[in-house]
Amino acid sequence: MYEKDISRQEERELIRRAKECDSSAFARLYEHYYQNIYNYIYYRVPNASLAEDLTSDVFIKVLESIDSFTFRGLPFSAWLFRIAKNLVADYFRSHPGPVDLPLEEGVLPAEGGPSDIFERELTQQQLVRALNNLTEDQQQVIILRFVDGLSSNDVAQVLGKSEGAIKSLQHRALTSLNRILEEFS
Amino acid sequence: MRRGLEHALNECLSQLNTGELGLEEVLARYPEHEAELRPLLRTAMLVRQVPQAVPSPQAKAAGRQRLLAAVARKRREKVQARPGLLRRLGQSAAILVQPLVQPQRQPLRLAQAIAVLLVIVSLISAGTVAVAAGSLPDSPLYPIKLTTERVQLALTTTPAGKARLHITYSERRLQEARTLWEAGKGLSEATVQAIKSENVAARTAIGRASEQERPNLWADFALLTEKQQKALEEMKSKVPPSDLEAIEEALEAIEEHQSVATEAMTVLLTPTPAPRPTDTPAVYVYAETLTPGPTATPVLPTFTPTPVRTVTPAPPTATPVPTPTAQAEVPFQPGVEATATNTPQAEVPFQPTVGPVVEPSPTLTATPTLTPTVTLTATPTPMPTATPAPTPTVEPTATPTSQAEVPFQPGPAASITNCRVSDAPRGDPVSEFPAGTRTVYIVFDFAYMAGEEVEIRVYNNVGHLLLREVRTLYGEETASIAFRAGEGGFAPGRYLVNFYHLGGVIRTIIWDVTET
Repeated sequence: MYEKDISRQEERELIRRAKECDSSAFARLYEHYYQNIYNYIYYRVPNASLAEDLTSDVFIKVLESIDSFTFRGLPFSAWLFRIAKNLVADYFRSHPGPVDLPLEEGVLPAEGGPSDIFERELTQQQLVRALNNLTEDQQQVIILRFVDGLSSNDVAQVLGKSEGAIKSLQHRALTSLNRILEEFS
Repeated sequence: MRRGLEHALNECLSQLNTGELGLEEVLARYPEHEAELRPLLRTAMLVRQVPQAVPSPQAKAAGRQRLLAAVARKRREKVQARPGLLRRLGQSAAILVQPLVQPQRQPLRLAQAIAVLLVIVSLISAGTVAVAAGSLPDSPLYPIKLTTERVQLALTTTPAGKARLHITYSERRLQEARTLWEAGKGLSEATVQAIKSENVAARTAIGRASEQERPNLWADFALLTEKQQKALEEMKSKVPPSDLEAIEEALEAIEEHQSVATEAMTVLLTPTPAPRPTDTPAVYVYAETLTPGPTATPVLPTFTPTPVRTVTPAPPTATPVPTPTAQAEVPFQPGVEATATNTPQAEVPFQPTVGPVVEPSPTLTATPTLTPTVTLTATPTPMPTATPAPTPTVEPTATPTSQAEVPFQPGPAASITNCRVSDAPRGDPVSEFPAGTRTVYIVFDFAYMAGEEVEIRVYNNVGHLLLREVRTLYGEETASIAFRAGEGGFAPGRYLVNFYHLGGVIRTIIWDVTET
């Protein structure tokens, strides 16, 4: 799931050192989680450079709030994603405007190869456009679950919902996404 | 029914996620839901196969730098927020004085009375020290301030502790210089010199600190030099011409410290990229420790004149030998300052970490009188080829809303592979060269370059920069840089070459020149 394996014990130790403002601990956490946080933000904001900026902001926020993090609550990864989720929400609050792409405008350009989208690879742009036609909660569950590879339990913790609610949301999200992709093809 | 389907879907997804079961096998476990599950699972698999979004390496590196600078700032704030010596002394005094000001159940004992008197004397002294702490170089109390600092330094035993103190003092000297400057009193050359000395001492102490502590210390040091650079640049514009030279000199030194700190942080905090399949395993990958080779005869003349070695964890019982080729492992520290004054020509025995510490003195800046003997003959710079730089494939954007902007789709990534050193232009990797070798070739392959720069730096085993070469690359080719030594060839010992691309070290290679 992540760039390099990191054991729970090592993560605890890194967080303990990070609380003491240890640069190498932060550097390690940054390397470990950067790609996943970037993935999550990339599919939720309009462009890549904004995703890069917000990803950097996430880690600054982590530094500011690390003292309040305890292992009794969320897993650290879920805590990180929750920060990312809040930052994205803040961004859209401060930049209001239409976000979702209407379905009829989201039709994919014709490409060579099989007409059935399931017979070829889905590109990042196609996924972005398809996600734009889902509700926010559905987008979140698709990205966290299938792009970032979180378990349904972790997704539940990030979104602050029960695992049962996530299973239900996941079902609805996949049903909608399947319909949208079929329409695209 | 629906709940059963949702549960089955989640189970199937978890099983697919393990990679042990295929779609058909998973579906076979839930025949009653197969028709509904199949399209959903196909969709989930399709999403999982989407290539990862790739952030630009520059943005990632910039984010890392931003984070580490913020970490260093927070650490400094935390240190400054800790109660100082005086406050702690005051708290202790309050406990002792309490019997004097509160009704006693028992008569005051003699010992307690003496203790109280001692505290009162201490407080008077502490008061003087406290007043001196805020003094400026033009104050009669200023020597007390400096003495207090020296005492604090002498009481600190660990190199990391000393480094932190030197960083604090250096920052303090800067603040003093600024206060005087703002008061229109010009810039005291002595204060500027003091900043320089504290920086040298801090850098030396960082070099002696443990491997675990060094990243934080380098980060603090980098932050300090950044602050100093900004402040001195600002002051430079408004000082009399007589002060200009001192500032220029200080800025030059600070810039050098900064590059060393940044580089050390890069080396210590950037994960070493895993060797690519195309890389040759015969070449060493950079490890934290290097075996020292003789430094008395530097192979190249261009290194900084602050010579000598880093802390050497040689066993205290080891007898220094004239040609220390193998016994001790010396942590590699780019540009770490000397721990003792000497000249590059002298044979210097290794110094154990434990033992008397010789504070660096300004005489360290003595310039070695070596004449350049090395010529770097660059191979022709690869010219732009007909190969067009790959451009990102962006889909037509018929979308009217700015929010629906199509994200960046990276094309084939620029790459540098097969980094090696060789005994022939564009030759095969060599990790050990015989004594007397006159030329070492630094070779690498590159592809999809569109005017990007790669920088090559070579260091000897004590971290002196021997070569710094920047190449602008186009297209796809093999580059070969001839690194030539003077008469007599390269001195025996270990050498390190770092390849920098997009703001970070992408590859480190070590090679040895053997004794005859």
